[in-house]
Amino acid sequence: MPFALTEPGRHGAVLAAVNRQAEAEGLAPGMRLADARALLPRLAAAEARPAHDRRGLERLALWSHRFTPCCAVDGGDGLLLDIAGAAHLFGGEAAMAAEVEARIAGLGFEARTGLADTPGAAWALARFGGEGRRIAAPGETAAALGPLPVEALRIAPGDAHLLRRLGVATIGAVDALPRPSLARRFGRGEQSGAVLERLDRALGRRPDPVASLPAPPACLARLAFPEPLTELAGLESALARLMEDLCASLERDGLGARTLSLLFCRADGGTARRSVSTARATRDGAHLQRLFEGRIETVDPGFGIDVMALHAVRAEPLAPGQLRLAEGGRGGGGGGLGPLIDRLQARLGEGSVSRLEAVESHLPERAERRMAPGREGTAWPVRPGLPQRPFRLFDRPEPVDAIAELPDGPPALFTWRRLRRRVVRAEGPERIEPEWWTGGADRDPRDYYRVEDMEGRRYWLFRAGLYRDVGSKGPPRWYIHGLFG
Amino acid sequence: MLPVSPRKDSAGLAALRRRVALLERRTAIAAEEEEARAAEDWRPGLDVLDGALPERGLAVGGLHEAAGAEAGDGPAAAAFLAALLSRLERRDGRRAVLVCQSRTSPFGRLYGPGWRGLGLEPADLLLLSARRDRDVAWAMEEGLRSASLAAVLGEVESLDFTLSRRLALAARESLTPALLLRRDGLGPASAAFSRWRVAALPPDRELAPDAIRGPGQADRADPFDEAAPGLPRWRLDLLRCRGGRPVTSTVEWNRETGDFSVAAPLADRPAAPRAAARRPALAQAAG
Repeated sequence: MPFALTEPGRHGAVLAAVNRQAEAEGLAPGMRLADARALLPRLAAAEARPAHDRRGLERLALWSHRFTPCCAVDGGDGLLLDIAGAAHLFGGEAAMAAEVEARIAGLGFEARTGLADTPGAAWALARFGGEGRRIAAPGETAAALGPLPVEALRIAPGDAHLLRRLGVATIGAVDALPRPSLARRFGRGEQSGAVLERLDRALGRRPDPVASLPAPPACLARLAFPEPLTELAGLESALARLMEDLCASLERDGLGARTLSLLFCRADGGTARRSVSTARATRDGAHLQRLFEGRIETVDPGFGIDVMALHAVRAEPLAPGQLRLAEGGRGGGGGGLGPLIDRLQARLGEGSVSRLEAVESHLPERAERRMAPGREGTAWPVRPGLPQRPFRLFDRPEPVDAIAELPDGPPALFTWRRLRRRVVRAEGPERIEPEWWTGGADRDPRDYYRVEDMEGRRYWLFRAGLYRDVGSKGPPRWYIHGLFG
Repeated sequence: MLPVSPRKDSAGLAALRRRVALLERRTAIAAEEEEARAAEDWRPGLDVLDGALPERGLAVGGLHEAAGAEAGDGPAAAAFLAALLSRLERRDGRRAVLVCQSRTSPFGRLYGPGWRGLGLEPADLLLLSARRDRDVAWAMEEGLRSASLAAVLGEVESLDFTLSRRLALAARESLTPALLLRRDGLGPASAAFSRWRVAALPPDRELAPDAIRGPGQADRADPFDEAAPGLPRWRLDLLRCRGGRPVTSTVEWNRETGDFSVAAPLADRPAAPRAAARRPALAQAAG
């Protein structure tokens, strides 16, 4: 049944895409829907939804990660795959191209592939290369592109039209023209410049910056299964094999992984990804594999997973001897602090483990800073003169109702968490002024007291605000900021 | 060989078997105990307490639990665990202490400058904040099993027997002490080596009502200021200790010297002599 997608045009709807039957009846994109209906009354038409197409294409790009880690959407109807170093996994470039086409056909799409040294040439071959001529062998790009029409240069339609009017119909002919004369014939310098630029990029004479392609991972391992896997045990043993491969290639390159990304490609076209990070570069396969513990269970295998790939997304140089970073410990154990931190963070989340660093600040909540646990902490300075600090601190001081016998004295009684506590010992005040240089000038100074109640429990209270400011800021308020043992 | 009728001698045989089993279990426990020992002894350093512990003190490779006698005594129990930790010799270059807390602790989070004040080095801390108690227990076990930490400190609302057994085993295998604060008080069963109940005690005497002075005091802590809170005083109940016996004592903790002392029950009695042992953690921190 002939079918077409339409988009709004200046004089009513215009065909945007047609299926094969409609094409056979003489319809083509760009026709007005009214004209097409006149030719073919039984034409079914629907409005094109470019945003949906785009999203579908993006999903397809994600799915293409089964072939190579570098995939991107290219234009409105293409995918660009950087298969450098990946083709041998599929038994060569031709086999890989065939597999890509077959797999996409399996998803219900029709696809054509082109394969060349440059993105531009691959683009041209995929769209204009005839059957069986879509792969340009390394270094043969110019020969492969030569017979293709000028439109394959991905130039503006006007430029292509002009070239054709000049009698230049193929890329080979464009390339054969003397460059100054090409510029002269176009009349306007920048237009011929655009054509030449495209030509040079396609032929690899000029770099083609494809910004949309992600950087390739430092190392990767990939495994395709003849039968899709659905069992957790199968996935785990596949991960073990991938890890072995990856660690071997990391070792060969003298690298250690910091971030690993594990990709699952489902037979039905879905993908899932799980990532783990390490505090220090490592290529200890057993350790890295433990980081994925509990993460694989969360992957929905659907009808089965047929490809798994493990990418070392981030890697750092690691000398051969640095394998075991154990810091003391009785031999054999889990081995060192780094692996422990990795395991904790892999399960409880990035940032769940931290170290404390001393900061020069009078404000109690600023006197320490949390930092990443990876590197060794520096010893804290000893400050003998400093009044005692609580060993437990509330991130947000909790307000308390306090009664003081003297306006500027320690509280005699305070209520915290609905319990009334009578103060029998107190020390203070310790005046802590806001740090005006960090923008706290409008905050109130605090008077801290170390107090003990009738039950022997010790608290760190402060009074925010001054009695002399009662008029402008209201009466001082009391807070509890920490606890002593 | 004489034929032995199993039916006839069954009672005697069973008794014999029981005895053998008992003997075997005793040696097994003894071996377990010995395995959980480090080269150095680990003791609170106060005669009353040390005397109640087995010969070589607390097991380094063991789980030690503390809880406040009441909900408000939680910080006192936490400070007691810190005090025990400060008396632990650091071995094999293992300095890091993993502290596992859930984000919802009613006692706030561990504060570095205050930790420094307890004579412990905050730079050695690895702080882990988890969402649930289960994650805290899991992280503690991982930390123990890594065998690269000086100690693992945790705080949970409660812990069932199975988890406590796991922690105790992991502690023994890696010879790493696990110190656990239980906020729910001490539950019925646990595999802990020692269990302590800690209650804060009020100051030992009343002050004149006007002794708590108003403003005008120096910012510095004045050691002779009788109105200031003194050394923390706790009533310690050692409820259970493998190879030891329960004991109750009233102690003071001096965070500067790292020593426990018997709190004087009467106001006019002279302070008990302090234990002379230097605190290993402090010595290392200074060096």
